[in-house]
Amino acid sequence: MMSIIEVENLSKNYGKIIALDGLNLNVEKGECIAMLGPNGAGKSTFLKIATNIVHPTSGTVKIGGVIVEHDPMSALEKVGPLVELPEFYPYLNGKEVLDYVCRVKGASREEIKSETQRLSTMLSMDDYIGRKCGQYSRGMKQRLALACAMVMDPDVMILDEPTFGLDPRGMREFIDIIMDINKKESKTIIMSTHLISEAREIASRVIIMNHGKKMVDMKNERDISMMKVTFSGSLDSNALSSDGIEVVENGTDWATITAKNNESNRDIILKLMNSGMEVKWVEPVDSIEKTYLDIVK
Amino acid sequence: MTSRLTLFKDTYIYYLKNYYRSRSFYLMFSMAIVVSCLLTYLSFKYLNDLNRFAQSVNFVMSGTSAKEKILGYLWSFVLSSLPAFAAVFFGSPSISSEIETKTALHVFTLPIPRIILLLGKFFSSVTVTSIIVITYTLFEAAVFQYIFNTLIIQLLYSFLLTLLFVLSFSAMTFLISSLFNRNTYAYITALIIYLLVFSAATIMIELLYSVTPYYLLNNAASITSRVYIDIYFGISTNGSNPNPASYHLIILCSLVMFLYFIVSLGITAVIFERKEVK
Repeated sequence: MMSIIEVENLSKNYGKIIALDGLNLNVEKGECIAMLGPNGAGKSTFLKIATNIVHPTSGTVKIGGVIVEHDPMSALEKVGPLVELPEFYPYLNGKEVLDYVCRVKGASREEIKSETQRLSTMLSMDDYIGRKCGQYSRGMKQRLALACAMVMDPDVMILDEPTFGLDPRGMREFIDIIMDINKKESKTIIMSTHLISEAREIASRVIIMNHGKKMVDMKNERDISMMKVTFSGSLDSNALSSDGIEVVENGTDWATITAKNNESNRDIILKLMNSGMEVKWVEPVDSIEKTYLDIVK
Repeated sequence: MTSRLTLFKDTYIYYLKNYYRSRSFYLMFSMAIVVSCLLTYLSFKYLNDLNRFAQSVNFVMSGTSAKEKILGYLWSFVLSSLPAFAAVFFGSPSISSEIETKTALHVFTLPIPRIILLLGKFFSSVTVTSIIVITYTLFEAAVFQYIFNTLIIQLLYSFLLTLLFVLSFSAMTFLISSLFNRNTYAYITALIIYLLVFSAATIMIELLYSVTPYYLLNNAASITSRVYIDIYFGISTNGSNPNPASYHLIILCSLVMFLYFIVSLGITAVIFERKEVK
């Protein structure tokens, strides 16, 4: 499959501080990637380079085959960015902001009108879209920023902590919208977040970063389905080592296991029980959270 | 693909709306009205006392035209500081505020060349400053028409030179703004450079070399009033001439202002292109 975003050996230094250290990444069309990592891991720096806010010290980011730094206009034409919480000019209203973004993206007069209306309704902004941005709350600005990112149906959406600062209801709505965009419209989404639950729910691929480096790139669903099984007696290592089961970690009466093949969790448990082991308790293990904590501890 | 000219037009209008609705604009506009009204009042009240001013600068008054020139000089003398303050108001936070308030996180990610963003913002800033200058000049023209029943050509020269000064000083404030990420630093630096550094440099150069440094913007800008009568308050070159400044001097000062405009805007474009929001 063709890579829509190609990152090659990307580095960024702020004086002596290395914010990004030789990042390599390929994002395929239709993928939804969540970037996790502690503060200062390099997530935002990468997304800022990809959206022309920051220039790389070395390396390149290509979007649709175009190097962002060389030709930002062409590279960003089909990109919908939302980086941190952008501010808007205080004396312009939300409609004027959307109108301008539409114009910059080459919309016709009719398209501007319909696009502004569509986004305003979709993101429930009808009540305040005519108000000046200087009067907007944080949540309102976040919605307007997402609307700007969605203008003219971009192929790629780059979202830096899109739900940061939103109330639970706002967060739920945002997640639903992003999932809809990814699933129904097959858009490529790359987002950074601090919320593991958000990454688990939205992403098809999870990248964990630390100290400016990509530490983990978990690509398929198997990687994010793990379970901790507690047994009544002691562990039978022979049963555990049967085909299709991978032991990630184990104790005297418990083991964290995952399926080697495409077997479901139910089938794995049945296999263990049929081999004579008495299963006392089964709980899902969040492999993302576990990996994340292993990396950043 | 939207053409660059259309992008520029859209960007210009976008920024212009934000400028003319701002409090800064209304504050400057109100000040221009107040100063214009004050000068209108003074013009009518002291019209017959202009000879006292003429004597103070050793200027021999003869006829209505001379009165008109002196009055014109006084109006444009006041005007010369108005666009400077307006340009500082609109120009100084122009780029630093994009970083400080994080509006850059929105505009830098748009598929639009930064040079167009810069030019759109620059010319909208120049437009609102010019509106203030035009308002003041309209007051001046109305007063002159009423009192003298005629308008002298120097009024037009002064107005055009003032617009050139607006261009050059706005470009300079944009340049200063591009060096900082905080508005306060940009405001203070612009004011210090224009009001203190240029004035101090003028005094030193006049003392040391007995020449007027027209290559400093404040001296070049003095031409906006010297097109009426050539009065210059310098250390070594004090004096007045009942005639307008020579064409040679007008061209020299215009060139200096034009150079400030081109060079400042050019450097700003280079800095703005590399600007980042960390």
